[in-house]
Amino acid sequence: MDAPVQAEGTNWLGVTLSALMPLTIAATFVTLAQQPDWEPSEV
Amino acid sequence: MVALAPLDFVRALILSLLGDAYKKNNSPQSAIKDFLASVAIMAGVFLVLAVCKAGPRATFETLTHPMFYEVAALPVLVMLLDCVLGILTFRGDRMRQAERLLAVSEDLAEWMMFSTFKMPILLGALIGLVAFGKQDGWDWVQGFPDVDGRFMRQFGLFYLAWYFCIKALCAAYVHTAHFAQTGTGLLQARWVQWIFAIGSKQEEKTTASRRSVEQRSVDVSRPAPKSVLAFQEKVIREAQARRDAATHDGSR
Repeated sequence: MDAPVQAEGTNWLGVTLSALMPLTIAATFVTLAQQPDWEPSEV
Repeated sequence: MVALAPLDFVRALILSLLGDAYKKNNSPQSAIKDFLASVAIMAGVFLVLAVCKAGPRATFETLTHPMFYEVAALPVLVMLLDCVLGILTFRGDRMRQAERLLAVSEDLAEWMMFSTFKMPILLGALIGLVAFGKQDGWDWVQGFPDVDGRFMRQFGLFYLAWYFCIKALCAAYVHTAHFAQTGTGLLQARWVQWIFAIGSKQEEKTTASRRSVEQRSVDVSRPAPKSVLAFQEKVIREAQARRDAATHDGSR
């Protein structure tokens, strides 16, 4: 008799690791956007 | 965005080649060979295109410029190394992995094209409208921030953050149970494809024809529904009954 086919669940580790890098980059851009304007260098 | 787009395009292409390598090869060694050969062919094609478009001298100058190594060659090399290590350390169903990689590469390429070439035109038009309205004294645009250099810088950075958030969603989605059931990427939903196809008739037609081909292939592979089988059975029974009746009449 064939074994019952199991439905594949969500791989939460894969989800976290895949999203980590792009989300870090996105967070960097958000942080940069909230910085005050760049002042011209006095040197 | 313009600086990121070529690198993201190459990334989507490399992921697609990696997906193909997983799909076609049984052993890690043959997958790596196949993958690197595909990348080498792709690089050769790019080189020939660059020489044809820009000329041999300009191509040579670009390839020997230190900036090229920092901006393009090094990231691509890191990407290739990551892919090769991924193949070597992969343990699992290679066909599933191929499906994931191909879906992500398709999503990333489409998202990159949309965010680089279509979305900025729409947003630029909206910002231009707001700036014009503010100058002209329209009431409904007075609540919006002033369109100056600071606003544009912030807006650009938030736009990039949004771009990477969607990339994260696309990359994460292929590990979900929903993807395991459907096998299609996050951005392959019909309504998303409809938005992507706005402004390009050819693309719309291509997407429509692809969908119909997919539909056809699904219809062929899928077993006939119970109602169809019941109908066929009924028709056969009726034909048999008519034949029996005709035979009885003949024998009388």
